[in-house]
Amino acid sequence: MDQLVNRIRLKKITAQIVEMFKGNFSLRIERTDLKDDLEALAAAINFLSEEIHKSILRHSFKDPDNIFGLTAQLYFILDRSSRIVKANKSAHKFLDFTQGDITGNSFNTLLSKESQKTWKDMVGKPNGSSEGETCIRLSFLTKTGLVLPAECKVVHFGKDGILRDNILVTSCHILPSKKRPARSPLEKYDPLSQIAHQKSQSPNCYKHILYSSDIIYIRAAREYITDHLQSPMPLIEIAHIVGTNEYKLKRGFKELYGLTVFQYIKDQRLRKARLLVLYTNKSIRSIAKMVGFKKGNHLSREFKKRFHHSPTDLRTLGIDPKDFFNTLA
Amino acid sequence: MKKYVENNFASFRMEKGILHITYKETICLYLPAAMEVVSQRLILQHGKPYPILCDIRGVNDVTGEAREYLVTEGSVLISALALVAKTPLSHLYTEIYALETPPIRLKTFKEETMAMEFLRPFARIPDL
Repeated sequence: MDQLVNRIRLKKITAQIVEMFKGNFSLRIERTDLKDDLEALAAAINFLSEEIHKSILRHSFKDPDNIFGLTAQLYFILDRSSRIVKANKSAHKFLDFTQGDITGNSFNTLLSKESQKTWKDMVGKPNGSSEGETCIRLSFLTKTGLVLPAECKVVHFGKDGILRDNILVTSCHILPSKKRPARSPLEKYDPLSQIAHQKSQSPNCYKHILYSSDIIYIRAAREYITDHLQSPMPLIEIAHIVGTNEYKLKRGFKELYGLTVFQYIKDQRLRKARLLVLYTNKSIRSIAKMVGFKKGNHLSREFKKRFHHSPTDLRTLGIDPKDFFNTLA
Repeated sequence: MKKYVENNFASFRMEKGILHITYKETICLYLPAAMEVVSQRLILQHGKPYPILCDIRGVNDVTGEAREYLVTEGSVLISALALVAKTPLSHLYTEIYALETPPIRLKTFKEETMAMEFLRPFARIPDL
């Protein structure tokens, strides 16, 4: 029995690796309650996939003009009893089903166990069937048993119009990246095809490419920054400590994390300061020093810009920390 | 000061100046859960840094957002952190957490007794 279960788990891991090889980083391996080596492997592959997916998102949205070329919208039209009336091609493609496989089936059959409950709760709500729009996080299951996490918009239609009494579920996903055909060795050394190749590269293509050695020093720089938030540090010094120059660090950091070094430092300081304001009695001045701001008013100014209230307001308003967190979640 | 508190995700026990946090079985740490755990910990600590023994064997999954929160906000007011991990899965989580480098003294242990040895020098005088 165990062997059969493990074989199914291995199959899913293999399926995920194949999807990643195809350039599809939207899917995840469905997790079990086990905590063995196989589960650790599944979790590690999911982490990796998530990191690559985040990085693709960051790079893709640099070029907003091309956004529709990079994303696909999945939609499902359901009747009031949540049976699938229609799904578009992208939905079939992403979930690896053919049209006949899912039409007429219950929408629940496409969802993970947890999402089945979420869906049931949503449609079962007293106002769940009235006209309107809701946002909901669901996990779809592909035919191969992988999970597609999705932020969905659910639209309930009223009694009038073409979609009367139906439910529309949509979500947006990054398309698997297309692989460019490899250039033959002959092409590489032919000056004419080299010029043609250079011309074919769009002007928006990355001018700055990160190599694995760059990533190592950028990560080291981030580690250094996180460990020394309290002491102000010129960028040039950080660059020298990790063994690079200021220009490379500036460019590479933004490329890798989507934030400039200074934005990152400020973000880390403010996030820590917020918790210290909420949970300690320390003065704003000493919190400012603890997280690396020179003066209390500097912290207050930046705090207000980021959280729309001053640190003093946060304390005096008597916000319950849990409510405060709930509003952020 | 309260010595024992529990929420949906973990139990918190203050003993001899060390805060013990034990995650419940098959917990999925998504962002609101991570926020609640950090919030509960900071309420217990009354604004003072403490050494923490954290048993993560119960954690089944951690989302990227929760991981980032635990590394940044979650590392506030910790004088030292001992993570107890016995399963391959919990070992993976400790490795990834350590990789993301919270600026605290951090060590992973298989046994609680060894973890206590590591934390003892950082223990605060217990409140009477």
